[in-house]
Amino acid sequence: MTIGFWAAFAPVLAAAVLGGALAGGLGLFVVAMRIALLALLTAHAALAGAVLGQLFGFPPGFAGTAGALAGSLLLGLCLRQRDIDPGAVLGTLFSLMLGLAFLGIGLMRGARSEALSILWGSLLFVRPSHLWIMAGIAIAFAAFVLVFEQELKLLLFNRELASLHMPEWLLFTAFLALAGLVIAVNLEVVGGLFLYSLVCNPAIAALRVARSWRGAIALSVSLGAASALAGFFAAYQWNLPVGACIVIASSAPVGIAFLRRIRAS
Amino acid sequence: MAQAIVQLKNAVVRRRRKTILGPIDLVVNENDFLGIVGPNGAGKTTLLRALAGLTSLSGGERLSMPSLSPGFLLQGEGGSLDLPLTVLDVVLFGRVGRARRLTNADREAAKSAMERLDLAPLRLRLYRELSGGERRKVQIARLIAQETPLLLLDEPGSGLDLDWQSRLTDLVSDLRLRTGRTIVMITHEAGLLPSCCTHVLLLSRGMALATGAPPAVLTASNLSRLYGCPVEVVRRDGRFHPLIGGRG
Repeated sequence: MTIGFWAAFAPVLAAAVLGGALAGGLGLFVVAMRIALLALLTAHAALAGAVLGQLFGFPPGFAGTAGALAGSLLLGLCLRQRDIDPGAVLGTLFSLMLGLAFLGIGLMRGARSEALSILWGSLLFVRPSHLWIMAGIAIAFAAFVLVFEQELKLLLFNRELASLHMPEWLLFTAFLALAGLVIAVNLEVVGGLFLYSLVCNPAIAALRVARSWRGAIALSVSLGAASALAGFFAAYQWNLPVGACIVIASSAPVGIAFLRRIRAS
Repeated sequence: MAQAIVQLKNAVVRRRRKTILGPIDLVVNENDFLGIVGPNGAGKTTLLRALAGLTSLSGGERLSMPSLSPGFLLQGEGGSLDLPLTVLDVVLFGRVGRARRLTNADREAAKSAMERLDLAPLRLRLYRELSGGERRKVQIARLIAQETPLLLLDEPGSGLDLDWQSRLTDLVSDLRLRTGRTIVMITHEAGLLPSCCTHVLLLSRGMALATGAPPAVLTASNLSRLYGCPVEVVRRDGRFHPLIGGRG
């Protein structure tokens, strides 16, 4: 690989590493809360927001972020009752967002590509401004996790117990709102498929293998970044689609973790 | 006069138009050890959760000391076993909400709680890799570390073998004697209530069947009414063991 390669692909690599690490970190919480479909829900809420926004004359990027935020907050509101199955709520909200998006698409006149592109992202065409926004949201997320580390751990361990120590619904909803923003910001750059796989796979592997909470965070973040890089280089080497290679690369640690568990038992 | 820590006045809990608790009046005073005994489905857990403020009342009211954060021992595993949390992590949960960050005092309280229950050698073991009895012990250490005036224990011995049930009863008794905290413990087996229990409430179909001091309440006649079959009571080491098939 030449200097030209590195110069050309440096922003792409930076976006892949940043997006992968951020998705891996977020995924640990989302998987432990058993709301892994949050990435898909938020992605389609962003799509619905972008489509409806464009219909009413708002910029799709802004409307998409607002849609993602609204989708996350709606989930928080529905899960205020702790005895409701999150999977059922996610399924209902996901189909609602899909319905809203298709309704908007059906009503649209003229070009639809700008609004639709929000779901697919484009890692190869990442702009420096995107990188700054991704870095900013990564810092905000890391700060939130550090400041509320104990509270978040307790929330993941047992929401009911957490409610005896703190206003747990407030923290839960704040987390979901931040998660919605993280997903919305990354969606435009790396796409929905990339995000969903990197939210789920590194976290599942890390939760199975790690021997401590901070170890699990570090492992999930590292696996997210490593999967993104490995997928990118495999795609470059063999001239394959980048997104698909990253998704496949992110599945490998889960397979290894399961095999390890089978061997151990 | 003893100060009331928490009380329920004419409390009622309804689910899907069915009354599952109450109307019931209950006062838990400072230094009480209240045992709530009843068969499956009597509403014991609902009553405990109502005392904790975890279940909203459909009628009546709950009054408690200001900013009371009770220690709650939940049934089962106590929490998610997906997470790679150490024993120390779980014991430290008892300190969450006191200050923005964990302090040395919090770590000392957790350390001392673990030492009291001989958990210090396990402090870095993963909670999910412990046995059911050990997990229950860690949960009790969490309650000790919490240093709250009120402990609510939901069937601490359920799902455990006889040896662990007996060890947990001793642990609860020891906790009461050493710290003098107010304890409310529910059980479907009266024999699991430690001898330091000061009051007993028999709960049947969400209503109080009898309440008072253990010798006055845990009688063959009351327990036969509670369980709907003849019961004989054997008193041993200050505890009351019901035996099915007595003369009623």
